[in-house]
Amino acid sequence: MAGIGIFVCDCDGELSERIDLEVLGSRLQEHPDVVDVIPHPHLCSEAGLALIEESLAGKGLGAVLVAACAYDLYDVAFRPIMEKAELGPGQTVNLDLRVSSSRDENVKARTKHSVDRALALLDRLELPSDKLELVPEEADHGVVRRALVIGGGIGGIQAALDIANSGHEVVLVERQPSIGGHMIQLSETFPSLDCSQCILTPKMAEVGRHPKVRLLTTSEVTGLEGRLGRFTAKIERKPRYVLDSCTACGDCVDACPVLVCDQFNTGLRWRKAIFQPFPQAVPSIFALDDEHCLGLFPLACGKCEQVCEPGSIDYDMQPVTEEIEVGAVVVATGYEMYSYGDVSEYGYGKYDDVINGLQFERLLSASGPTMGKVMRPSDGREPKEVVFIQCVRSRNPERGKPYCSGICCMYTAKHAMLYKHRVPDGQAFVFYMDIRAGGKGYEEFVQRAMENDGVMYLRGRVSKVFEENGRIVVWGADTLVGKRIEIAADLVVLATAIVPNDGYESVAQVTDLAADEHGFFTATHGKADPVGGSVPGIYLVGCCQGPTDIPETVAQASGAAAKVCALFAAEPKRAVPEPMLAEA
Amino acid sequence: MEYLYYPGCTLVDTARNFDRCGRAAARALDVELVEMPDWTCCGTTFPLTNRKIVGLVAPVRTLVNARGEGYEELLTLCSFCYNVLKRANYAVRNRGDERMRINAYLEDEFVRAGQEYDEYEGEVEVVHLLEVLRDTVGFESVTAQVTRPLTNLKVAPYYGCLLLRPQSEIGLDDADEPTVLEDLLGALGCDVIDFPHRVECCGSYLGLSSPDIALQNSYEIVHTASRLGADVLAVVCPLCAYNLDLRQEEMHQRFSGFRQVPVMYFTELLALALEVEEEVYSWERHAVDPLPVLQTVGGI
Amino acid sequence: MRVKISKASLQSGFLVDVEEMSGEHVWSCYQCGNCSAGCPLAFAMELLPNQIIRLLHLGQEEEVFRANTIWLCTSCLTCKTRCPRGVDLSRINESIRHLALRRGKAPDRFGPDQIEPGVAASAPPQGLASAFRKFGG
Repeated sequence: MAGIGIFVCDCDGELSERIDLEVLGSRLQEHPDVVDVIPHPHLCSEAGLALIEESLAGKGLGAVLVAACAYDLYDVAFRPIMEKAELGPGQTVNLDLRVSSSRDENVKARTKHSVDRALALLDRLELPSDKLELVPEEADHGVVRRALVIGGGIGGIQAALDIANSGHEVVLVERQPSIGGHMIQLSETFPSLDCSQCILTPKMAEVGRHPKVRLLTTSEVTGLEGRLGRFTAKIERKPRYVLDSCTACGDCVDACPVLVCDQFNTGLRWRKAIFQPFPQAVPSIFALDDEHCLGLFPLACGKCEQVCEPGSIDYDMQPVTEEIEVGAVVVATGYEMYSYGDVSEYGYGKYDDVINGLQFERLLSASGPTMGKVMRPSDGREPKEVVFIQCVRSRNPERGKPYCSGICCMYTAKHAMLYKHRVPDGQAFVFYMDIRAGGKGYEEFVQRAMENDGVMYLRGRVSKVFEENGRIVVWGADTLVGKRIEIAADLVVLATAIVPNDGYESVAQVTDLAADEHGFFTATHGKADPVGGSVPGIYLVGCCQGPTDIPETVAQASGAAAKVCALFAAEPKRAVPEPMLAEA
Repeated sequence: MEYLYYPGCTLVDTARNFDRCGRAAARALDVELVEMPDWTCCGTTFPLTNRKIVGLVAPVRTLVNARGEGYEELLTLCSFCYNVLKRANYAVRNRGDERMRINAYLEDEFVRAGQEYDEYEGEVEVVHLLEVLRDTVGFESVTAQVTRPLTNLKVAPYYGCLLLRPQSEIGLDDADEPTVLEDLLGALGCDVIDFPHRVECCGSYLGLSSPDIALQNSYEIVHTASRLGADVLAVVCPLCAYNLDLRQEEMHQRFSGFRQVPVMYFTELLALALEVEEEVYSWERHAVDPLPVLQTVGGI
Repeated sequence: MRVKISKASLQSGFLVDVEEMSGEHVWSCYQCGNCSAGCPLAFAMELLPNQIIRLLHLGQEEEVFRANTIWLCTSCLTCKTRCPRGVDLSRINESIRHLALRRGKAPDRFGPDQIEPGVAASAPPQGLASAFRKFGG
């Protein structure tokens, strides 16, 4: 039986500076299907390509892994040779050694990481003997023309719509009972101050009733086998305990005796154990929170079932796992806010009137717990002095995350501005380090906050926040004049770092996608292919690959959708540009 | 249980009440503190520059001698001693260069004195009475042994700096949100107040070199405790006690509207709650007499 | 007066000495001001802690020596605890104090003769010993 051949490029010494290529080679040689590991100083040179061609012919390799510098190079330089040797997309795979060596500090760790990545990719290769039988309508080039989108926030919704509107089927998987993600929690968006829900609700409705989109909420992807063009996704559909016949009348909510902290409202309100996360939810049917419902234990409660006229409650619903064939995957799993237990010097989690930016969005939102009226969580009073603190645990390698969270400068300016619109006699203060307002219309927006709305910007960090006599005292600095600043505020809003959604680990495990040390998925090539994931056929959108704002997320979603559609449209033998060759 | 105990210079001098109450209260909780024989100065400050190896001699010598006594742990009460001994031990354990140099120095000293010397690698564990009470005795057990709960006594817990920082080397508690003192005082039945200035610096040795500046700083702390209605300010370090208690008369003269607050070592409150009846209290050492408030509020 | 900076001033011996003695990376500081915001003694300092680091960046040795800042630092480590860049200012200040003492830039070297008699009688021994060690070099 033909085995796997591995070609390892050194990029003229650049890669062996970062990775121990000998260890990599010898570890891969131990794989039972690997017949040969062939190193070369520069595979993309004439000599390197000739070596590959010779080896393919001479050794009768059934599949090939090329470990080299970048994925896009594979397309231009190596694919023609592979195709000439009649190796299809299932028999060739590329390992980007530059990406797989970017996250660790030392050679040993980088080498181990690269070996792990290579072994995961080897398992995705199909040797000729176990080639799948293709169903006739897909046999033309072996690509299943159906996409899987993981995550139902703005990124996932946009990608699903763009793919579906091109005529392809989409399966959109969301963990929560409704799609909408974080964007549906927001009040108004910078820099236009459009209402977030007004932008998103029509898209949610469109994706919810699109004939080409199959929407699976309260569901998770638990397995993904196969390769570009033909993946088999395992999707676990968790019980919702409410049938599609639900009319969203709300009688069950009135009957339910259990109060639960409402996560959609960032803990600022209670909800019942049976609930609709928010009025515009898609699907609109209710869901039952099985962690808190009493009725799942026989005879304990059952109040919602008693009042439900259409008889839509089913306490016996069980999880169902189904397998779906897809040709490409879009990952849009988003972000979450940095955990508050770890911001002790700002009293976050200790004082009710120290909240984070997402909580402030809910306070500003017309459909939020206060109907858009700005109130202190502690006593409901209208805050007259509000301090906003930027870069909380962002740009903080020592106690948080070293990276800039990207969106906070703009949303803080927006928060301060909207606060002034709601409380005209109030004063907003912003502690900042640098104002990063690089998008279109962003700088002007921040200037407007300062000039028109009188937001006071103070250049410096805050050291400590504490409560005294019902006010939140902030000790900060103004480094421009070299003064220490003290403000007794009514409310403090922390722009805490954004981190990958906690589901990233299971997605990484299921997909084999490479992630950096913070858990953000790594693009194949930050510049040449920013939406391509490290596994061919899987694309990255939005905050799962790094902090991104809404316009950038939507642009990435459309970009990923275009990649997916191009794959679905491709002919068996693709026209490829002339190889770019390095000087031999 | 038994611990080798290092009192340090101040606990046998101006802070004798801190020491005596600590020993007696520990004994009441079945913790025997055996004073280390022939102990010498801890060094008082941890050297913060790379070149100053001499600052490590005193604390590491103390640790080597503690090892010689056959104990695995060395218990302290004073924040200065605790901080310096613990940081010196950390340096020996984690910085090879400093370990080598300090051992070479001490070996020479021991050999000249005709004593044997084994390289010290940080074998002794430096512990504070607070962590023994928390981790070994247990605060629940302390509560069970309290015979005179200090109910109604509003206490502002004050940590200062050296007991907690640097967190990476000391590790007794979170440097910004510590709870050990609150938990102990709670175990004694005290009404513990949320005291925002509990981890600020008392002014330390500036109380001696720049007394005027130190006074302004310590006034902020005491005045805040006073405004928040504290009956007592509980401290862990004799220098904090000096800056916060002994200088209240000056605060009183200088700042109008200042209400004095008695300052007590946590060991004094512990001994009172355990009804230690020995002659350990020496109330005359307090500039602001705690007895009136203890009698009216604490029922003592 | 303008502060003239150049390649030579950025590689000044003073900055190199401070980094070498303290073991701290002075260039890690991005001037957020967190140290100054939280420093309990900053109210009495002629230059704020973050300004000391900035003056080191600018090679302004004399100004750093002239200010009382380094003599008011009690190494309480509030700044280090909260510094987002992990700079231990207590080590930097101690290094500058040592350099000042060695180079005769510390005119009011603190010793037993400067202690007020009343203070000496009531002060805890640990306070006397630590003050002499910190400020006497």
